[in-house]
Amino acid sequence: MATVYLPSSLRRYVDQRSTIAVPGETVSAVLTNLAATAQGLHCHLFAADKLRSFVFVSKNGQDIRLLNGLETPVESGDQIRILSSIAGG
Amino acid sequence: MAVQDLPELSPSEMRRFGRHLVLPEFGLERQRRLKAGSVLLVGAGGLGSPTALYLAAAGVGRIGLVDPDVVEETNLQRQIAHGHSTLGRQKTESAAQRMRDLNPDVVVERHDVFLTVENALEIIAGYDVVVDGTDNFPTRYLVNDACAKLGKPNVFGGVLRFDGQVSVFDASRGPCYRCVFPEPPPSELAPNCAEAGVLGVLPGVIGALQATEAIKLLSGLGEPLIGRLLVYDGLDLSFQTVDLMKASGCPCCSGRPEDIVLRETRMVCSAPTVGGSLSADELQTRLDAGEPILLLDVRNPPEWAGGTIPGALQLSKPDIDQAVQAVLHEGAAREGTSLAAIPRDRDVVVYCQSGMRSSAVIRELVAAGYEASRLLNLDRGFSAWVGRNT
Repeated sequence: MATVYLPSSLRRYVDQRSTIAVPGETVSAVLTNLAATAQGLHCHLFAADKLRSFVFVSKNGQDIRLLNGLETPVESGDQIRILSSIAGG
Repeated sequence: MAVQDLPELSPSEMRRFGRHLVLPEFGLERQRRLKAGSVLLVGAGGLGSPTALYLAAAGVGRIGLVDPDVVEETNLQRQIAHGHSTLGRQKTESAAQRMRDLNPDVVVERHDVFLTVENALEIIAGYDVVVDGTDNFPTRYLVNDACAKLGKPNVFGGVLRFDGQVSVFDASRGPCYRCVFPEPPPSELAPNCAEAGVLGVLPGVIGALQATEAIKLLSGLGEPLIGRLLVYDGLDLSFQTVDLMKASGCPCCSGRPEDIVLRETRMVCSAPTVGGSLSADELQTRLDAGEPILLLDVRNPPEWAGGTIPGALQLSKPDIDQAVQAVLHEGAAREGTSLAAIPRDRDVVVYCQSGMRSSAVIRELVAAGYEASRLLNLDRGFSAWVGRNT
């Protein structure tokens, strides 16, 4: 199980929780399993099975693109953080 | 700038900045670097307010403010550079007054304009550091691209609801904004603070961090937040830093800076448009003609308290979401939900503050069995109505 951290704008899909434990052996599997819990969340994260260009994902504090992208392996206890670009000022 | 070329501090400035001067890591030379330095603040709102005040107070010599707006009452929950005494005045003028009160020696340059593709390079070129405190994606991408082209560090800050983000995008030394977020979200997934809300103190936290980074960049102190994104969560009060990477295929900074071409970024709605729309003028005409239109205000109760269109039915979007969910997925009869108050046999004009939530409500109502041709979205929402009637 990885621990996934969600920004407050996406917590409405997971009963307002800031973190949620999600199974999966890759970042892709974790996000897909997470998105399966709510259609709105899937729409926010993916477009045609690709991560949307305004969504940023890190594993243990590193941009997943510095690792192996969506295919980055995930082990139990890893921390996956989802960020969405925000423009408020 | 060589030390011997830095401006001297006056006796008054030596007293004023004494708490900086006693910091061994800061000292006289860095204070003189602040005095020689200049910062452009793009946006004099939630983020720009604390940034402007702290940079003026810290002794930055010249500060530019870009903001075309005037001070409104709804700003005062978080935009602390302004006040009741400056309602209706240009934000740049209002902020400049407070900045000069904190530090009479600061030079404030006002730019009462939108930053555009046409003026961005000319305005930004005149400053050492840029602080991005705007409230919209198109301007953020423009600031990023112009800074990358000109080789200026861009101190980025963004806020929404309880979340904040800070980074320093300096394309010559690390990733730019487009390396992290290549494109803006579609408009239906990009609510602004007016739509989604913002805790008033949040831009204070993030703006103060942006001011810290600007002071570090000007004075050469510490390690700037280049290649890292600081993520603030106001609900569990946590700060996390994530490492960023410079994208090899970045549409902005992967080539030569001089080849960067500024382009306007347009917000696109990816959801299908359903139903019709009408302007505030057209709505007034139809109301004056006595047409039996139902006005449906889908904003939230606190927004209703700030004014509404007379005669409107008030049903918040969350209430409608719940009712549509019950009808579509739980087998509830429409008449047994709050949808019963929305007629199906006449035109319904749906409005929110800016037209985004109402557009989503129309899609939901059509899914729940309403005729799309009967549903009309008020363009630019209640804001347009207020603008027309004031």
